Amino acid sequence: MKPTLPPAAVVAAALALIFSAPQVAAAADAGWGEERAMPPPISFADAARLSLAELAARGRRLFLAKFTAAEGAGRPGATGAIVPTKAEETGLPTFFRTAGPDSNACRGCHNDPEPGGAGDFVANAFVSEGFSDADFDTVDPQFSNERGTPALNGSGFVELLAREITAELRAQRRAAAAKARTSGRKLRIALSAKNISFGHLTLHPDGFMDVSELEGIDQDLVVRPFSQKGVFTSLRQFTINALNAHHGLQAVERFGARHTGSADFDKDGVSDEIGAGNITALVVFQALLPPPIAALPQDEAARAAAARGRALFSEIGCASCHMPALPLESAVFTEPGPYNPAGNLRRREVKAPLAFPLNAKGLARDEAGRILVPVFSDFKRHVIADANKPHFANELLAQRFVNRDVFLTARLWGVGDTAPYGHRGDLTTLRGAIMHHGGEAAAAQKAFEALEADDQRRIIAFLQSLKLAGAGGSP
Amino acid sequence: MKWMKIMGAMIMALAMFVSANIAAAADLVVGVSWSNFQEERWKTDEAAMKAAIEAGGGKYISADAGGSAEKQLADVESLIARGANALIILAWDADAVLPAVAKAQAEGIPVLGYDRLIEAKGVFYLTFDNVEVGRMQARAVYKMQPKGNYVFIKGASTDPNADFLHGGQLEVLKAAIDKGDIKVVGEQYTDGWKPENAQRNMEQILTANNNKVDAVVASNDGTAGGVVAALTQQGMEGIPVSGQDGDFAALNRVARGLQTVSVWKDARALGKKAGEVAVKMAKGMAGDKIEGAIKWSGGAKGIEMTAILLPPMPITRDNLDVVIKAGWVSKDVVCQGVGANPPAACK
Amino acid sequence: MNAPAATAIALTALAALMSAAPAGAAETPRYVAERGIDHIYGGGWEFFVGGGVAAFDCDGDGREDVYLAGGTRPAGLYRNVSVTGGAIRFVPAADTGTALDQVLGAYPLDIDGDGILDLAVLRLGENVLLKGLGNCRFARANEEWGYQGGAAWTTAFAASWTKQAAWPRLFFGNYVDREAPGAPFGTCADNRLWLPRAEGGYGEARLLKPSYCTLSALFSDWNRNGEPDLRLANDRQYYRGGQEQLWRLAANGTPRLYGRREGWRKLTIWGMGIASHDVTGDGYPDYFLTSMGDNKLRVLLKGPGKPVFGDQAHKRGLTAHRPYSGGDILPSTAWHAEFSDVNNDGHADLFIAKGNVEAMKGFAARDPNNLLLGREDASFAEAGPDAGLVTYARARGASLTDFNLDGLPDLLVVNRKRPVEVWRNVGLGSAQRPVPMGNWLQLKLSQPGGNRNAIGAWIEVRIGTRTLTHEVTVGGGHAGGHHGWVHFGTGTAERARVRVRWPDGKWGPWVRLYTNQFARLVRGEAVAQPWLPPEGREPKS
Repeated sequence: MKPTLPPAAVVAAALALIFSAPQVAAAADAGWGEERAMPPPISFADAARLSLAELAARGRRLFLAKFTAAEGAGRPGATGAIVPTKAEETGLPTFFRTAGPDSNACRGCHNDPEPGGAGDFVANAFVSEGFSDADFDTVDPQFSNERGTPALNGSGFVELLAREITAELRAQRRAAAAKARTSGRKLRIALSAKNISFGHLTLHPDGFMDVSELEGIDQDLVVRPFSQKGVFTSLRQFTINALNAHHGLQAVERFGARHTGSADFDKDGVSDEIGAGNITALVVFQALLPPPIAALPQDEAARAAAARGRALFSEIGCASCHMPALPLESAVFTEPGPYNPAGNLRRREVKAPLAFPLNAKGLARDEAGRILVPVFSDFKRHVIADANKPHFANELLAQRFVNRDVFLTARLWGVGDTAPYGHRGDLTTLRGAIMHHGGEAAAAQKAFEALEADDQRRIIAFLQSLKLAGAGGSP
Repeated sequence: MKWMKIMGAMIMALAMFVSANIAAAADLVVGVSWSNFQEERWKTDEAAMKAAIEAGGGKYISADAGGSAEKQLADVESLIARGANALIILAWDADAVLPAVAKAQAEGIPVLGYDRLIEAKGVFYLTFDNVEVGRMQARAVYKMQPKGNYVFIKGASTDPNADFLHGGQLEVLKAAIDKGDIKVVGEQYTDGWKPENAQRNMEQILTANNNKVDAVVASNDGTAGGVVAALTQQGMEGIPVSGQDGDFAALNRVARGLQTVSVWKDARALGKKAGEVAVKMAKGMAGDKIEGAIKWSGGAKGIEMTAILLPPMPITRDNLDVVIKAGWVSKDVVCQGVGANPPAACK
Repeated sequence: MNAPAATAIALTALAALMSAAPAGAAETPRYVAERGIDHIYGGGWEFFVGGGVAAFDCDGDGREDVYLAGGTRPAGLYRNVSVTGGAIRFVPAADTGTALDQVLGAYPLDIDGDGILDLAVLRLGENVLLKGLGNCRFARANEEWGYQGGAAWTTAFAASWTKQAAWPRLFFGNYVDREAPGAPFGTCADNRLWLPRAEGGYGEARLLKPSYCTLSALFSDWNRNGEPDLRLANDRQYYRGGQEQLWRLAANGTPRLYGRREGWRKLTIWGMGIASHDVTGDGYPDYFLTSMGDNKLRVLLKGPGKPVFGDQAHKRGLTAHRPYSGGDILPSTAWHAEFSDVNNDGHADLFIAKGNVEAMKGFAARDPNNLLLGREDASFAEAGPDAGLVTYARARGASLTDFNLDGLPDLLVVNRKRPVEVWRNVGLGSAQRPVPMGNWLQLKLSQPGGNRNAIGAWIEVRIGTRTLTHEVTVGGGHAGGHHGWVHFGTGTAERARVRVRWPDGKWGPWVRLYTNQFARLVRGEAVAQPWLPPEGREPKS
């Protein structure tokens, strides 16, 4: 019997299906019986065209999504390192607490009191370079450091403040360099932005710089406000790191064929696991998490105590590092940011960056109209431990050029809602955290100790008033 | 019934003979490693080679090194891996290819060096007889001009072939030179075989001899062209001049009476012979048993090799139709500008 | 066959086609042609070879300027006035004292250790050592330094400092002796090695015989034992009975050739240029040699104990033996070669300058330059057409240098009888809007003593699990070299740890550096000195 050709329509439909679908993900959300949690991929350009609400909703959905192996969660062939690094074939289980992946969804740890928030000690993560075998990633502190889960609220404002400080310091550097060149003499300048001093920089007329007097900032003058030690530049960079480290989900812009020669670098059978559009959605979601705003207690006595505590906080010197507010010139968040290194989408790689305003409702402004962001941090790194007060240096590994006893000044906004405290989340009381301050904070710590008991409690009452939930509500 | 048994036996024998031959044919693979196949000429050689191989019951496989000595090494290995029982190698770099040759010989695969000398023990060398080319050039000129002042315009001093040619030329002319019939008034190598160098050298010789030159033995058509240009400037065109290669311009000069002879090497003959020899060697025949093979040690290292040196063909006015009929060149090209008294091929 | 089955087959086939993604393809940087320099290298037979460029900063602004050989025309010094991150422009520098004629090439280095770069100028005839006076002015120093320029046709140069010396030993490679009977065949002039005197300056040259018409030379520590040896690329067109050479240079003893007994394999090529880089990742430098037809990648086969070098060019896609475009099927002629990570992905790439000798039959007439991008598996793929670099001039010397200080290596090519080409690397973008590729780092070294720029040092840059290495040398290439920022591409790595093995063998400490910047490593200091490029002045006209 003569074979019949398939109806043209069927073939055409099949071809249409194939050519319209992206290579790996399906054209639509997961259907019944399918196990995929992420929305389908979109390009950066398409993401930028969505309304902000849609984009934030997509980001939230990604933040809550319990990633599955079918969409690329897990990384049998790669480590959690920030730079694409092959892993030896070790046959580790899919989830592994110390080497990662260690969680099914972002909100698995960031959930207290709601998605985007902090985490209990039980939700601690381990950070390591990821450059050696997965075998080495054990509980043994020799090979990794342990970190509590911080709240992400207000991240958008944090990144904008960091960018403005960086821009200001670099402008000072550029002007001084030009002056040194034309005058033919070296020039030593004080670097300062938003009333924060970052030490001194000496510019030589031949263009070389002496960076040995910088304080609390990297030698390239980029403020890196994310992570406990202040080593990550932007929400985007951090998000891509975290997706890989904690979920084994590898972003195309870092782990894709462009940089690694392979679309499936972690060898889990899924290519192009998460693209620029969805990463941008996650960044938008995090950027729009409302900033924590202090909420004074209803009770009269408690309220008075907190108010007095705030004054004491400044008087004894806590505020010199935990600066109560920093002024922000513009609340327009542009993505990608200007300081991303290769391995993250960069501004010049897109036709037009995404730009959207952060919600500053509930935040005060200064006379110049700048938004006063109540971060309670100076965005600098400080030595926080010493022989007397070793607790905050209780790990063996330096992380990304930063020594064991050096940390970024913790942002105290929201601290009233995000126990346990400390970078390792191993302190259940604020008092404990304060008492462990050493190093550059030794004087302030001693001053706290010298206060009478009621005054100490007033400071703690003040800190307890630094609540997480802001007036704007979650996106 | 006996005749049926005999028939049966004959049929069986026939079947075995046929199957043996088929098996042999399946085993008979000749691998050809080309140096740079895209060069114009080699298609002609290939066609002839392939026909000869298939006529002998063999299969032709090939590889093109594309001008890379390194690739040629890899090509030879791959031809061996593909089952070649004999190899024909047109060497890109005769020294660089030696390791591949050694490998083939170690596996008992006979190697034929095609046109370019691969000087190694046990390699069969097939080329045109360059000494005979020189002899043919000299003979043709001598026939036209048995006495007089002769000039030798030789090839490049770096090319050993230049000396082979000159040796052949002298063989034929030596007696006349010794007798005094022929006086050599000029002799020059031509840097890079370049026509413009030949022209310049010829001009200098003419000046030095006050144009008293009767014949020029030029070693190839390119230099012959330079010689004819120099002669024409002095109004001396038409005196006997030799050449080789069957260049179209030269063949046209032969038709117009400006050049006496162009010794032509028919690439089809070379390809055919290579195919035939390769098939024989693949079947197990030793090189020196092949008809026409001689012992030859004319290479720079003086290694004695088994060789066939094919005779070339002198093309003169009288036999221009040979190259036209062979499809080497068209009649229009050969006969362009022929005036009164055309040669036979142009009538 | 029924419809669903056919559809299924069609679907599977199409799916198979679509899932076959190209593995390991490297990203191609785009090069745009800049205005170039109105300078031509020309002359007769003697200037078929040569045509080098010395790239170095002579006016102290941190931008590499260039000194270009001219052949029969005067050589020229051109100042780099590029806008940082913008268009690349050169202007002729005036009153420099460098406008010599009969120049084949030049190399920049600090001979007298005064901190100002000097020039070793290779000529047809007397070579000239030009002492740098600062601000792009130079003065002849042959007499002052006791150097006799000789009268030879000089085509190669290399220099290195021994551990104790304050002045370098200078090697001059000579080509054919045109006066000798039988020239040019088998008449190579003697190469000369000038050893410094203890009090500075030079006395007498040592002849390195036999010499085989050397076109490139490089002092390099091929076995990482702390003592560089001298590798020569020789031209088989004119030597008789010659080969490539590796001279063993013990600190005080006589130079000796490595021979067959030590494992040195005879290699006869038309050696025109040498480029070195550890392509194989075995810890030892590999050497790319340019030639006619096949180019070579010489790789150490049996470890550092013996100089047994074999070839891996074909295996890695580096033979580049004939033009990849232009329709010419004849083999190439290659001159300058240089390794550089032009797309900043952490894998070295290779540029080869190509061009016919003049009108040499049997070799390609239209012979474009190559840009071969290195992949993760250390194989290479041609990217000349995609990079926009295809031209058919007869290229000779070249330099891959970041002329506009934006982190992307640019290209300058010297051509025979055609103007010098200047190409700006704009990454993935365009001239109006360059787009950066991977992260990068550019370094300079500084140490006290005569060898201020630490020639002979090894720089190690650790990114993630990989270590990039670079040997700091003076020599190699074809008739010219680069002395300035040492460029590293670091891919997605944002930070690097860098350390130096100084020429006397001592290791410096690991120094932490963020990428995407320039920095100087000073011996004895644990912190690098970052450097800020000038904002750039708009070029005149």
